[in-house]
Amino acid sequence: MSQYDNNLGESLSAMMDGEAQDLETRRVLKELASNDGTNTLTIRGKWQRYHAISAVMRGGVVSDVDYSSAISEAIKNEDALKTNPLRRILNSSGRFAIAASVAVVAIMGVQQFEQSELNVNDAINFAQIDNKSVDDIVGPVNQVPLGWMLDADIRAVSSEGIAQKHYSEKEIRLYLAYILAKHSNQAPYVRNQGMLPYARIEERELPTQKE
Amino acid sequence: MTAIFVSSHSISQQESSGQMLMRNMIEASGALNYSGLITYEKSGRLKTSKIIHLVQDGINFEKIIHLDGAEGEFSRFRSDPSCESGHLKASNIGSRPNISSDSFELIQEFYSLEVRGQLRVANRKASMLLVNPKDKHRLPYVLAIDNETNLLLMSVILDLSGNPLERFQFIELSVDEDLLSLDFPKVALKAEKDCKSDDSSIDGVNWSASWVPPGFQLINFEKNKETDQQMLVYSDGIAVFTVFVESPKVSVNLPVLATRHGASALVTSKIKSFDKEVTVSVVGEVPAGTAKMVAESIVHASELSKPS
Repeated sequence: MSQYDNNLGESLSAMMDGEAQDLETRRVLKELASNDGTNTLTIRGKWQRYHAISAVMRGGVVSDVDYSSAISEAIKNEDALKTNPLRRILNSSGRFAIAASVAVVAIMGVQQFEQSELNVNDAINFAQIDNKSVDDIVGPVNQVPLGWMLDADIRAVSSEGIAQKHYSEKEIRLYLAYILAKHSNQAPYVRNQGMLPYARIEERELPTQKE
Repeated sequence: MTAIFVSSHSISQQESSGQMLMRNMIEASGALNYSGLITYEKSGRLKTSKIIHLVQDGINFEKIIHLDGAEGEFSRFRSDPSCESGHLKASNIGSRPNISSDSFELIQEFYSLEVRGQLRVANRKASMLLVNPKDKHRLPYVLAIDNETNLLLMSVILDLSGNPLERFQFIELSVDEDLLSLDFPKVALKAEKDCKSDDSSIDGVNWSASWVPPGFQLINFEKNKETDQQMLVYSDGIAVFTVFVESPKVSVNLPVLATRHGASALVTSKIKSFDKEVTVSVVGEVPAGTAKMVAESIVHASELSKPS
């Protein structure tokens, strides 16, 4: 790969992490939008892969234990899951601080539905959801990668004066665990799922026990 | 013309077998005695539990025992089904939804139920049922329903892209005759607890969602006098989300965030009301975008009656 490719690749990485300079961003976007040039295909490929990786990461965590061979087979075949993209996010300075701490208890993720990256057959062979029915499902309101959105929210909040407001990660985690447990306790009212709702009740799972 | 008629007829036949399967499953889960071992997988963690379900004289006894991690068990008696759907006064909320039976029509309106073949779970033959949402405000499920008893053997919640988020699965199941040795526990007065008295009237709850996804109904609400937290629970018969409106005092310590734990989205939003800022949190098995939209639609009851 040429030097130019490498630089573009680095700029793309920086962009995904929200750390790119304006000039870098413009250069990458220009390359993505252009129709010719050998760099375009490479960069587009990388762009797609980054999004696929982060989409999978946001969508769920790989479980090593699996009683359904069909599902585990589908998951194992996803190359993206063999790396650990979560580490990159956790190592990002400050910007993702709150999100990272929450990620210990919960998985970061706003639903992201990118039709171009979807390889429906690979991911969900077991469910046999055909392409048509999935394509009909429109994505969520926010198409922006979570990292960026949460970023903006934290900035908006901290602009009110972070000197006054100090958000305690521990308190936030406790709060999230508390409302999650309270919510799970409601599910048995909905009687269409047999005993399943009881399995989701997590009264005793507070972050302090994990620390 | 004839060809079209025939194909749509066969599609509707396929759909109705899915509907029938679902209906049978709902009925079986309330009517049969069963016990077994289950696994629950979420956020990379696997929980194992034992569950017991017994029915006698119209009273359901349900128990779950955690087999790993912190010791614990949870049990509940359900007696009068009309008490279950929350403590709603018909006059205030409108018709009180009975989530088990009335909601079946609701489910069909917002989900398509498709039988997708056979599979084997807990050493039993089962039918795979895809519960596919018809809009973007709900999550898809893949269910395995036991051919012999119609019990739910497996349930996988997916995100909108088809990635599995949580899995519930039996690994061992005993039904009916096998349970003759189990005695129905003493019910005593405990069964009445399920039917809360109307001391939690809607008068205490003065926040409301000005928008919820189509088909979602209010099934429970609560005001916590100590923390001043108000809670509203909505469901479309399958998906459930809970709205928490925190007091201004608690709200100060909460940022705006959006995250997910397994299939549950958790989002918070800030709402200004009467010069005070409160945090609204929405937790539920719905897409995060939908949870966010609900959080942002929460208004104080007094604002609802204002002419628009």
